[in-house]
Amino acid sequence: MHRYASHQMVGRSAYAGVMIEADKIGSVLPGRFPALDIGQSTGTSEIGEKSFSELLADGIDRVQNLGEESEQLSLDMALGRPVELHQAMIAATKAQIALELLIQVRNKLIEAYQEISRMQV
Amino acid sequence: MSLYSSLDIAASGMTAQRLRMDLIADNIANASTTRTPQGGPFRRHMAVFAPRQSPPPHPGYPPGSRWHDDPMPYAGVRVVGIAQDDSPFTVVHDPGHPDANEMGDVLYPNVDPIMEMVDLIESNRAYEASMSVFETTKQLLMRTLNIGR
Repeated sequence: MHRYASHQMVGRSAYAGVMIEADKIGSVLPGRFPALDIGQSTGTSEIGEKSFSELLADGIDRVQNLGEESEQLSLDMALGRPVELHQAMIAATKAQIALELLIQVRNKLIEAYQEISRMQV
Repeated sequence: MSLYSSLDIAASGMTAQRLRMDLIADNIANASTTRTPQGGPFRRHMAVFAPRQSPPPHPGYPPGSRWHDDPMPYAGVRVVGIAQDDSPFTVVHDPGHPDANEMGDVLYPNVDPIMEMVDLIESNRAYEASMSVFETTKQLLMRTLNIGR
């Protein structure tokens, strides 16, 4: 999808549950989702210029990193290296939570898109 | 406060208690060790805990953003060192022992197995408590993700 179009679409979404304005995502999503702040080079305190597709890409990167870390720890444990059991379990849990979050964000996005596309012209 | 801060803090608690359990196991195993490479009998180990310094702000937060100026003030526990107990050694009179001194006394480690077992139970409960925090946080996060489903 063209980046400008996706930004516009999300910005105008009337779906009550997903009223995401791209410049206020930090205050809408729960917690401090660190991926939202990556790439801020101007030093402003608001999220500002990032499009939602970039935020989604950051989320995917985060899931990827956590997943790799979890896999590495499990591998180390299987090879007998000194890895604490709870570290491996916790890394696996964090990866699982990150993935679930990404899936839910994607689901909401798709729901919003479908709501928009059902609008009569 | 990131999404995973509670999980990381609970993890640090579990790691600290695991280390303490290792030390207790070492104390109990060496309760009768009368000679060490440093000379003298084995000295009881103790773990020293301190609050962990909050990690540096995420490199993606630029200076001036509110996440940079307000890093997490709490980040769990860390082990700052392994101290040795300075209590006096147990003296047993046993002239036939290879490590007896000229008066026939043998110095045994200052390890009391009963105290070690009590410490082990305490460490066990602390580990389980951190595990409870972890489980509860994880359940809440998973249920939060179901909002609006």
